Amino acid sequence: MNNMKNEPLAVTGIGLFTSVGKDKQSTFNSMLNGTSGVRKIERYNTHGMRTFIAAYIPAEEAGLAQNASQVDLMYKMSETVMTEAIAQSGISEQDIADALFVYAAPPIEPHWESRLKQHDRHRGLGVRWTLGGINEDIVKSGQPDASLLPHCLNSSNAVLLQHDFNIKRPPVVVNTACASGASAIQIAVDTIQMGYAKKAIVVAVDASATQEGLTRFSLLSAMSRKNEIPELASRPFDVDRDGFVMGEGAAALVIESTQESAIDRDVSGYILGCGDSTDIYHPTRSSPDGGPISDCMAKALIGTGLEIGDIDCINAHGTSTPENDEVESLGITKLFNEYADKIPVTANKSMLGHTLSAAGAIEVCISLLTLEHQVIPPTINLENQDPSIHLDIVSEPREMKMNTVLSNSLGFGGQNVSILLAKTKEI
Amino acid sequence: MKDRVVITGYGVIGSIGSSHDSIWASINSNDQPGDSGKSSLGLIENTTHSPYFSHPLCDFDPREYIDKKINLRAMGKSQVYGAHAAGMALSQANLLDSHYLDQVSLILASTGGDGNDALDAKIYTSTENKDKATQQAIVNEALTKQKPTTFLTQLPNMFAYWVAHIFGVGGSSVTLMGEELAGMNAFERSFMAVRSGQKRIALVGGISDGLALYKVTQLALAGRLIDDQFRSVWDRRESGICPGAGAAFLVVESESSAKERGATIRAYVDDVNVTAINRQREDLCAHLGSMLDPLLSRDNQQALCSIGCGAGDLAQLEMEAYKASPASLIVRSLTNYTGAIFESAFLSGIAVSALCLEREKLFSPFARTDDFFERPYEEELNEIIVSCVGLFSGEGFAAVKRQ
Repeated sequence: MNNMKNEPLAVTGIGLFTSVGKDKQSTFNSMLNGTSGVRKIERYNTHGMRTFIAAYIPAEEAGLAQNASQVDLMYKMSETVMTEAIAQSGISEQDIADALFVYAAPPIEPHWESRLKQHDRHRGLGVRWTLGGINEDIVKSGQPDASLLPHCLNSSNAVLLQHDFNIKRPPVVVNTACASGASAIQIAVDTIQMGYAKKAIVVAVDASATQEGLTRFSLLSAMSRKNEIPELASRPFDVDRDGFVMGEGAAALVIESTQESAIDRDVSGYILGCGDSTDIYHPTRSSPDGGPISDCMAKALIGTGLEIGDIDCINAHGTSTPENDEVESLGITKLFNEYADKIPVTANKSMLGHTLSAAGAIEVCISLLTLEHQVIPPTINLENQDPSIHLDIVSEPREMKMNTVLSNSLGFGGQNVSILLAKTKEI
Repeated sequence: MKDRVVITGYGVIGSIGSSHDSIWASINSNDQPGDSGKSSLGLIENTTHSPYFSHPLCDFDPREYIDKKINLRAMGKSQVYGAHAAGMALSQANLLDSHYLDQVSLILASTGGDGNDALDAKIYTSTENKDKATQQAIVNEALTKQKPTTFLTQLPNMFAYWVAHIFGVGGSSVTLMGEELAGMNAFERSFMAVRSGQKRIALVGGISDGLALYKVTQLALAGRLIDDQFRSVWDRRESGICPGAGAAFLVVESESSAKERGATIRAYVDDVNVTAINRQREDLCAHLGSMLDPLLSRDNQQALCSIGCGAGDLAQLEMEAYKASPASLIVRSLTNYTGAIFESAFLSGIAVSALCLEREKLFSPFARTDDFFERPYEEELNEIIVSCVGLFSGEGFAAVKRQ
């Protein structure tokens, strides 16, 4: 938690790459049209999988070969969103060199397809991999392949991007599960407010719709099994929701201090405050009373001079799992009391799926576009709002005058982050 | 004047031990592998991942700091030994069960989580001689049969949950990733937060598991493991490393906070510098020299504790940089005892340096390389510079002082 008086920070650049658009404008337009990015997975054989839909990004849509690895796909999406955000911000090469670079991403692991390919290659040479020792013939069977190294390191994409964009400072790679993107923004905000940076480039990316990724969340019974009509599967706050749908995508933001010099460029909006809380109730479940979520949102208001009545819209974490949506709505009700059912709430995951490590940053970008265009994108598939959820869920695009949006991210492991955004610096 | 940053507790676990005393014994043991490949204390062996050398995790009592069996059953292997190191640090800082825990922020550098070696081996065996579609179906089926809780051992930030849950650490929490760089970033962020007054006390930690089969295999295929003969880091000519597993935790707080709590100040840290240069374009040796230079003292004899990945090609550049420095540093490689411990490396280096300053003696040379490197030194020391050069990226330096 930040005890200092907050300096509003300007967001001068935004970049987006999602299942419904390859840049920020096409993404936002698609969302206003209620377009779902969820589809049946054709990336690999899904036989035997309980869930085989996702709002995923086929590698060729990112300009890569069809069989490109997830590591390469994440690099490409990151590069695309960074380029878009930096171009909009108009910051100089020197500013980029001196900027803090925060990168939210999932852990890197070699996926089974590539592991088996390597295995086959070595097996052809009479080598087997077994538990209790690697057959020494592996090394002697062929030339070592140094290009494999980046595919097993969590720092590799971040460092490659840092170097390709000529950023001098080392990247800070963050993973707080589903709150990662928001945590990355919070790290940037904290660092600028502590006086250790004037500008920050934040990138958040995820491409986990792999066999391993989907199966793991299925095992936790967290995923929707509404495979028949993919675009209807993600339905936050609807009574028929049955789990989240995985998504892939990336977001980038250029965040700048406004203290030392007035920014004479277009500003997408301002970050007024960040709040976080740790929920130690259960590894994957939130405290049933929504207390830590309520605390998290309350902390985002500290030092901003704003009160709960000043919040114009909430961009909910809204995953479409039965439990998340219920507990998040409890948390909202607990904090906002009589205002709770008057504040419009929207859930971007209804269209984009749950982009995991990228979600927090993608949703902050969507929230800033919401403020810029003064229209709230809908929560699609809300046919019958859960009667236990007493919130104003926006199910159609809603134009209205807004100056603030509160964006929530709630992660496994009890990591909650809320970010308060505003259209103008002074409220 | 800004409050100084101090360390009031440190915990380390790895091949070198699981308590301050056992670690002290190991790093003064000069324990080297003999003809059998295994060292007498078991710090180094070459059977688990034959033919490669590795540093196995020591035996330890997981119940020492994790008293509930239900927690132990749900935690992954690396989460258990990581929490042990956190317990050591909190205990030494007199923070266990303390009301100050609500003000303690967690900054962690985590591995990608535990692998499932048995499952991996089964998939490799059962997919042999099958076409691609059949292989994928076998993979799907095998993954689907895993226990739901297995996944929870594979999420990087779940480690933060367990540390917060077991010890009641109530402040904010963030988890970083990225091998050696993650540990350096975690320490630098705790340093900045305490130095600027944004946080009062930070529990900063790193866990690594360089011994997971899937990691060892990738490193082997990339040609980055050493076999044949184990040599001191400074005598390695090849680019291979000798992986280890471990965790390290530090309680980092402001000097005024420590004094107010009545906590013993174990070391001061005034400087930390972290980079990730482009090694293809920039001269790493010259860069290390430029990072070291501002930390050198004209008045005090300083030691340098290197805790890099231990790859011979990188170690040679380190040697060149240290030899060229104007000060006559006493150089030790802690990596010789711990192995390459990635996320926990930099923090282990700082923790062991604090231990040495408290015990008023530098740890023993592993093997003397020449007149400069690993030369004996029995005198008292007031300052140890910790250096870490990551395998793929990341360079970190910190000066750890007795006062």
